[in-house]
Amino acid sequence: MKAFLIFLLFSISIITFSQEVLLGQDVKPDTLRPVFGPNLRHFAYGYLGIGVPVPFSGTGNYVMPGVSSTLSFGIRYKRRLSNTFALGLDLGMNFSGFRIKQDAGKTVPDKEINRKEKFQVNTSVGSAYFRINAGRRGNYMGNYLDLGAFGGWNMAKKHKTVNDNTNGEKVKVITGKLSYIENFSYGVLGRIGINRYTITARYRLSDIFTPSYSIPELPRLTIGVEVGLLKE
Amino acid sequence: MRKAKVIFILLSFIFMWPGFTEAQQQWMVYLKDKQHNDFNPYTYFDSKAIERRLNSGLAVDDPSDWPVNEAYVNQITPLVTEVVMISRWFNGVAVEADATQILNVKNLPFVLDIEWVEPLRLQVASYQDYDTSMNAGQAEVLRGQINTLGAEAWRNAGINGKGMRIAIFDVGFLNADHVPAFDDIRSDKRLIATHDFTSRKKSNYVFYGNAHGTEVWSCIAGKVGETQIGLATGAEFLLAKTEKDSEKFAEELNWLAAAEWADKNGADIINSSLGYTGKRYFSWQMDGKTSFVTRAANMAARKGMLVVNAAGNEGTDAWHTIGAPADADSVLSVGGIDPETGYHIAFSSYGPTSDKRMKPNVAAYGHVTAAAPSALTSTQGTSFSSPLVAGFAACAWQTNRSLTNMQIFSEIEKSGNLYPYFDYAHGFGIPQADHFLNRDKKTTEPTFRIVENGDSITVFINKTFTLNGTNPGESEYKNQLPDGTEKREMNDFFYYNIMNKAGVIDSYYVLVVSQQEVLTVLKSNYRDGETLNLHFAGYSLSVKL
Repeated sequence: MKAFLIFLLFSISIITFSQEVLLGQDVKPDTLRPVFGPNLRHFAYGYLGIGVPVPFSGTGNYVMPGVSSTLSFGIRYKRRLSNTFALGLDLGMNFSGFRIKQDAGKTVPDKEINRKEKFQVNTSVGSAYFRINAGRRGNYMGNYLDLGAFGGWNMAKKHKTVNDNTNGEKVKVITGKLSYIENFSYGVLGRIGINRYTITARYRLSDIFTPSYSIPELPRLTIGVEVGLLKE
Repeated sequence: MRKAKVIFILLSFIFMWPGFTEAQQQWMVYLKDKQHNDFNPYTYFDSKAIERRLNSGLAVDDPSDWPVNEAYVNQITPLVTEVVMISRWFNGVAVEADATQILNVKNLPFVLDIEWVEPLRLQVASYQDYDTSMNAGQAEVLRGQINTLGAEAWRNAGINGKGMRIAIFDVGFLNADHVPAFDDIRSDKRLIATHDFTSRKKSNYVFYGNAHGTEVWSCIAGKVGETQIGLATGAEFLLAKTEKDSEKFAEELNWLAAAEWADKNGADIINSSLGYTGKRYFSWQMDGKTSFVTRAANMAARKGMLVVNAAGNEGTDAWHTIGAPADADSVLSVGGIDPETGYHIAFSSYGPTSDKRMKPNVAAYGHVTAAAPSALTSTQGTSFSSPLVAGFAACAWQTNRSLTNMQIFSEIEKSGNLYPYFDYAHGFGIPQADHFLNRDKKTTEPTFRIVENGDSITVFINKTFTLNGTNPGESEYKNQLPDGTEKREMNDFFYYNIMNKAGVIDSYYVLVVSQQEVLTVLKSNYRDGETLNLHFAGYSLSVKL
């Protein structure tokens, strides 16, 4: 019985490998009308982005724009309505770091001067957008303008300071779950894109600091760039 | 105030965006009618264009050739920024205008329709691997690229495309006015005319920009010393620069303008090694009638010219299938063969068209040795398969000038080494000179037989068609090159496909023949009415399943 099974397996292997298929094409996938693609009914792709807070005079100008940033990543879904219009949803994470200037007039979150000081707010964010595409094109993302709104849960709310003690040692203090930072944030967004490359602007309508603490608000506007993880 | 600033910044972004500020667009304005005026085809066309019309049985004085009504053009001109081109075939005027201007044009009583010709980027159907020296491999490829098309047979018959006029549309012919590969053509004054359709100055200088066109031209007619690169070394040429490397505007309009120019100047054949795919069109628009360039190519064919076009290099991309204008039913679309393996080269775009017509029509080497501006070079892409076949077509047509363009199209298909078998990777295979030179000597001796036993169909290779008349073993059948490496030719493979009732292939395969019993299929796996088509070494057979 065992010998028969070995023979059977050997025979099957001979049949299986006696034909070396150099080229095999199933035509059906090429003749079906696809529905998933950059300018087809459905499309989804990942994105990576970086933005910087833009302080206006009188609001948020105590952050250091050059070293403050928002890193983001997520997945973007797009539902085509027509060649010109589309709707979409994003799900992702924003990691916002606000470095605070340490100067004489400092009031955020208090008047204490540190060697370095930073607020870190990590937000799980979702957004909905309306897309206007410019131009006739095929299955190609093309040039577009997105207008939308976002909302998110501030998952991590941290205050970080770095100081030197009297022994010259570095002292890092991280305070989490800050009660004076709101749990949720929301706002509006705009994006201008050329295929995978996008300039983004997000304006936070919600406050970061709980109003009862009377802490001057952090910059509401973030301008940045995104790269879509899609093939051109 | 703060919100106003935010809105201002957002709006600034929007209006700084090129898509919004670039209000000038290109439009094709179609006109309702033409006036015959005093059009005289005999003075307007080159004598070869008249000859082609007569040979093709076409009317010499055809309304589609009449000039566009000049009074209409004169009324449109002051309303737009610029008139880009005027098309007799489409009875239209391509213009550059903004939305307000074009609305004014649309209100003119003689305007039939307006089509937006959106600016998008060119996709030249090639990618290149530059090499400055001609090594043994390049020499082998050079021999193969023309010998597979019957170079020796053409040479022995004294056929070299003499008397045929070929127009080449390309992205640039860098240094082609100096490259030695075209010395004979220049000295014999067989370069009839050139035109740069990408220049607003409408210059005749085309020997700048990209070397792609130089290499393409060499694959039609290049010759270095006594070494041929292409087959049509005796043909005449028209060179049209219709593309720019990263041009944003008007490639398809340029193609149309060049086709009308080629027609006027007596071209018999157009070689067009370019294609438009996903950036401009959807895959289902590759139906032979939608894209602008496809309609232009079909019109060129209606004028009696044979249009030869590269299938495209999307075989390994998501697009996968042919582009425009290779989807046109009147365009001879050419796929690529890998010289290393002897069958379909991976990047060569597959058929069928979106309306399920067979494409490509034929195939040729997709990796070639070509004349670059400074030396012979290796390069690949169906951009080079197309000119190899264009050269072949010139030779084939020279053997019988009484054939029309669509008759020679059909004969070239029939000359394919797989004919009547076909698939959507190779079409009918590599065209063979023998079909035109030794038609009567061709035999179709069976190379295999089928044995039906109940539900199964088994295919056996006939011993006569194996090496030394033996059952081919794995090592026996493969050809050996002098250096001991394996060399397979296209005829060494076993091809089969499954065709449905509508005549559309559902699946197709290429197998290595490593034993006499090469294939077994079970009928029960297929639907009634489907056909099993088989091909090996010049012999084809169809079996109803």
